[in-house]
Amino acid sequence: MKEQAMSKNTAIEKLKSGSLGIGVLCLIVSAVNLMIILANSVRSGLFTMQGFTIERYSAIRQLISSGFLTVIMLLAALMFFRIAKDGMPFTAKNSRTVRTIGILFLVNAVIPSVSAAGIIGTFKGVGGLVNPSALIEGLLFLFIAHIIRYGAMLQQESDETL
Amino acid sequence: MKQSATDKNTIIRRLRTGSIGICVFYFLLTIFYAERGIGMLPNLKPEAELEIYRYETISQTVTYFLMAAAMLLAAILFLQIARKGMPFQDQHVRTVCIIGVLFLIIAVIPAPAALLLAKLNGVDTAMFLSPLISISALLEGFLMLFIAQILHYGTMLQLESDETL
Repeated sequence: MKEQAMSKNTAIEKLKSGSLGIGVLCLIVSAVNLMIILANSVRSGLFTMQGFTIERYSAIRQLISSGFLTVIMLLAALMFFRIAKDGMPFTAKNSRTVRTIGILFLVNAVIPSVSAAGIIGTFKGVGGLVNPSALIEGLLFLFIAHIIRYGAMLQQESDETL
Repeated sequence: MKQSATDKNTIIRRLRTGSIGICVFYFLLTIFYAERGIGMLPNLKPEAELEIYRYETISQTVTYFLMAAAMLLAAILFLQIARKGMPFQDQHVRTVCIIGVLFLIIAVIPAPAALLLAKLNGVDTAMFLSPLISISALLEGFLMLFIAQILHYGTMLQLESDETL
């Protein structure tokens, strides 16, 4: 029992240090992503473009999609910082965060294209309105949220036993 | 206690159902990457315009096959979860570790190895365009290894739960 407790403590320490690194990485990636897309938008003249052009549609879609991705990375960073603080990956809060990330991916699969088409004033010639990879990533994260929820139940059982 | 057991059974059932769908998805990805790798094989013939492109093709072909292997392992992992409904098992931790290592290999081996091979064969490598290190694959590799640690912790909790029962 004592050996098991020590293994658990070792695992928790590793999780804490790993989470901190990944949390910092998520923050850096979200900041860099946002800066790059804003810079590209300004350079391509997105904010001065008028009327319907495929370039304008693609630029608007990319900007909105990047906004969603930035929010997703920020949520992920918050979650990893929380794990770095308390060493507990399986909590109800983390399960909700991952579920929110999954929902954001699902929304990101549709909203950017629809919004961009709405802004330029036409749905003709814009191609597919659904991003299949974001859809699949969303479903995967919803599934991972269930795994974390199951882990949270085991964690609660473990804490109650102790 | 009874309600907790019911909730747990509900979650396990949902995990099993979800795993089947994700398993199918990863099998399709395996086929996709394997097909891409096989599709590049004819480009390995010596009739390439620039010799260095053959070596770049070797690097890309190896990468595709390694990705196919990683996707196949992921598919098998989700198939196991679909069968047993238990995500926290030692073999799953090992599988995710292997997937992480595969990503790390993809990140650092194919391009430098192809470049080295080209240099050893006396080919001019000035036009070798592939990046020597794939940052995204490197990050994904480390992320997988971290996820393996999370699963390892989950395995400990599962063992405690089983022993308590």
